[in-house]
Amino acid sequence: MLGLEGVERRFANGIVALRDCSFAVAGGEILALLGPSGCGKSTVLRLIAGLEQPDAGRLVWAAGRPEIAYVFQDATLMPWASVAANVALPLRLRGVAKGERLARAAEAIERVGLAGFATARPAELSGGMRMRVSIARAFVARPAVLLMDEPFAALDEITRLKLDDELRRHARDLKLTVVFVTHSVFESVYLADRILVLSPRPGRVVAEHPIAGGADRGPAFRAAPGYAAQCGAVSASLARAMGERP
Amino acid sequence: MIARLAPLLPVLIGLAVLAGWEALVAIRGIPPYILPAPSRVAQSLWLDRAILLPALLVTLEITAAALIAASLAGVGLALLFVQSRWVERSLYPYAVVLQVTPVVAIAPLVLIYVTEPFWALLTCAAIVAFFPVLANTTQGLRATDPGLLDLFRLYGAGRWQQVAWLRLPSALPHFLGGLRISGGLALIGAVVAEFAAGSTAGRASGLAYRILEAGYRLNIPRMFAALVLVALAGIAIHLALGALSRVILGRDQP
Repeated sequence: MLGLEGVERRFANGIVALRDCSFAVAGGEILALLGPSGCGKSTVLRLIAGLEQPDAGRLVWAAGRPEIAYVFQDATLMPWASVAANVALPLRLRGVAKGERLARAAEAIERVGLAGFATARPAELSGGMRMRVSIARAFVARPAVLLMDEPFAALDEITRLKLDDELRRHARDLKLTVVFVTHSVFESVYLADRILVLSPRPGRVVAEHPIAGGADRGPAFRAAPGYAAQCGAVSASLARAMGERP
Repeated sequence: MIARLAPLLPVLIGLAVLAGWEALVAIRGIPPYILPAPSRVAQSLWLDRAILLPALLVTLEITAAALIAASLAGVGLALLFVQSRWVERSLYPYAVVLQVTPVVAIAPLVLIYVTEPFWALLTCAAIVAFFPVLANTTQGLRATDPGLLDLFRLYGAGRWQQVAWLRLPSALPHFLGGLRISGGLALIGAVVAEFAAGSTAGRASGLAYRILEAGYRLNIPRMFAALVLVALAGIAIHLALGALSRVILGRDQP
């Protein structure tokens, strides 16, 4: 679906975030980019989203640029606007008529389990609920690709596990291709179909781990011995990427 | 019990000071042209109401007009600053110059070039009041959540959509904070400019002019009465702008 070919990105202050970064994303897969802090993971997402341009190399979409949604580490909501208005924002910016945009927002709000909170303000919601609003907003424009930048990192463990489960379900229902960035080995193994390990800055792909475990995951997947083994293998290659002895 | 009395403490202290003042004037037999007793000031407030109330209205009118002018200029300039760093770099120093130059020094010049007294006083008061609105609004427009700015770009928002739907609502609490400071400054500006204008104020005679006039006539109780009205006007403006912020931002905001 998407290929990055020898992508390089340097910032005005001389820091090179990415160098010779190449990988492919298959349609419908959930791909995790795992790496230490400051390795340019977020920059990869910003390049894919078109918020930044590569300084060398290129991004190639197999069939033109699809609809892309982006979920940030924080919920990133407009505090003055209701849940419905926040979720409908992408449609409003696209000039979709009010009736249709409210109907589609209501549908997205229901999908993430927040029916009944459409008129609430972000300040009245918990951190997990705010993240759900952010996810509903990502779904509302019917994206083909979902980019997520450490989306649940700021949440508590229980909420995070729950949202991880829901996310896999939504991705399958909506036939989404998901690329997400994380520094959590456990989250990447649980959530992803495939993990790419990035080196410290300048970031490039140094290891690849397909995750066995099928589409349906849940508490049983986490309890299985295969899960721990895969976490161990991914941790070892992350340590190698960091230049440590595993 | 003591905690519940806390809000009343300033009132009690005020009453105690007034009572002491009243007693001092009575016991020492101080004449009103040296120091009028509070009761004498109150009497002057009532007896001179035909002079003082129109003057209060004039001062309030100038203050309100100056505050509106300062808000429009401040927000307009802040929007310009956010669109272009070059514009900000070119103009911001002059905004600071305007802010740090005392209005008493500017007022005589303004009075020469703006012949209509109402507009001259308004200009002076607006110059004093506009900086907090400008500085706060600029800061608010710049403090817009970078994630939301990215989101707007991702969905192809135009420049005016970004300003109207994102930057202005983000800056609103900052703007209202600036407005509360500017409200007090506009009153100070209006009063100081009128002092500088002196007798040239003519028809637009506000409280400051009445204080000067009463001073020339050694009518000290009326000076105090006009001063009381200036202070009350300041408190009223402060409370009104605080209430405006709460209505706009909702009750849960500080």
